[in-house]
Amino acid sequence: MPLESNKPAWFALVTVLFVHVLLIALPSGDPPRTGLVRTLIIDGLTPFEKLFDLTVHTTVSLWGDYIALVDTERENRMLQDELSEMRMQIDSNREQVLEAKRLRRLLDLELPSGREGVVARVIGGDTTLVRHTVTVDKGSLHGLYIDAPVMTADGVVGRVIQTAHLASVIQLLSDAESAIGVIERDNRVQGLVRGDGSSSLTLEHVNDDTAMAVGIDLVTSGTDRIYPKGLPVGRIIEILPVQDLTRSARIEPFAALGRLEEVLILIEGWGTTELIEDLEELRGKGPLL
Amino acid sequence: MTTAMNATMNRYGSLATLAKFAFVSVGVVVAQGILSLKFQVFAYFDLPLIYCIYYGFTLASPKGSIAIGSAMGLMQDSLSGAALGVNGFSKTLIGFVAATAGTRFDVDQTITRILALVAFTFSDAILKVVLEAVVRSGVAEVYTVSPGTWALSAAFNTLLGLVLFAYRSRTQNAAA
Repeated sequence: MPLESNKPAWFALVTVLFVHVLLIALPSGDPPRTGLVRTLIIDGLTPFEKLFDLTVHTTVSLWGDYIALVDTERENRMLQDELSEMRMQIDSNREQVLEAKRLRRLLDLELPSGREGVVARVIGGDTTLVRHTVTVDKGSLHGLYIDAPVMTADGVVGRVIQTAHLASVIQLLSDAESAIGVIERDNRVQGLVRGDGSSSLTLEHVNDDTAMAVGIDLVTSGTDRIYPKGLPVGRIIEILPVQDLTRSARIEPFAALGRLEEVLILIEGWGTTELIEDLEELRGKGPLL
Repeated sequence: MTTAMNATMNRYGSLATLAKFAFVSVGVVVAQGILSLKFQVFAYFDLPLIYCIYYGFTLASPKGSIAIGSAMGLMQDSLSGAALGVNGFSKTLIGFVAATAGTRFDVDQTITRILALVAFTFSDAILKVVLEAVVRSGVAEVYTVSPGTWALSAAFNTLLGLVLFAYRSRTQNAAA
């Protein structure tokens, strides 16, 4: 094929790549904010994510509760169908009870002074292999903003890194770019917990090696100006060799970062009434209280 | 009148094709996000990358591949912590190269497809590492994924890509 006929395609390629370079080079602002292009894309994708999430959830549920029983003996079909329906009902009820319990735990959390919580459902995971992020179904219209801390009833999950109007992207503690200031709950020794892309975290920059031991709990120190002081983060599970005169350790996060369903986002200036309404809306049933 | 009707039908046909590709592109990116959340193994797949290569090879339309790669990359960037444009740049380039290769070479051989899928997966990874390193503080802090993990990802992508190509060949043969 002669090169001339490809000229328009080459021109289009160079133009589009140039646009991407411009997007990459665009500063995120000070304080950081989510750009218009990203906001529009996230808002546009949110309904599809919710729909797909619902479809997958329903399909998995049906497969587990019904389709797996299709191969039962013919003479027992009526009974099996009835059993299946009952199982589905029980599973459904059990799921609702578990969900209500989880939401109740979120509601019962003692929030840090000056903070209120917005409950959000996780509707998507990361689309790349290297990042550890999730998408939630609440955005700037619900009061979320960049750097708002995110937690579950068990502990800190991460922070908001992008907000669109109806959805936000949460950077998990396990992300390679995540760092959080911590303090040992009993000994008050400070350190920095970083993610490294695996399921566990790393505690770094601890000078006082006498205080470190397996089993010690870590809470946020508040020194990073993102996470309020005193939120549970994780527990030391392994002491690592000394490097550069500082000690480090492997940390198991309290929050189940790989199995997130609902999270609580700590924001300023959000009333308890709205939080209860959020929980009730998420649960889709009667009042919690 | 007939010419006007044909023009209208062509326009609607083009719009329908555009809508179809837009819908599939959105579906692929959203599926990647949801499936990697629900099933850990899907984190190793890069469905948008596979779709870019598949589209480039089978339809051999460089301009279309640029548009699809760019759109899917931007959607991937938006739903992840990556800098906006990193995946867009990478997928645009890979889509274009795949489409150009599709117009100039015989990409129907299985071995060619395997080599291409592996090469494109690693090219995508290298491009993203370099671009992220330029934007962020450094490669080591940003990308901690081991070469073994990339190799596993390349293997999964190649496997799924081959299944898609085989499915297409089968449906084409059945139609013929």
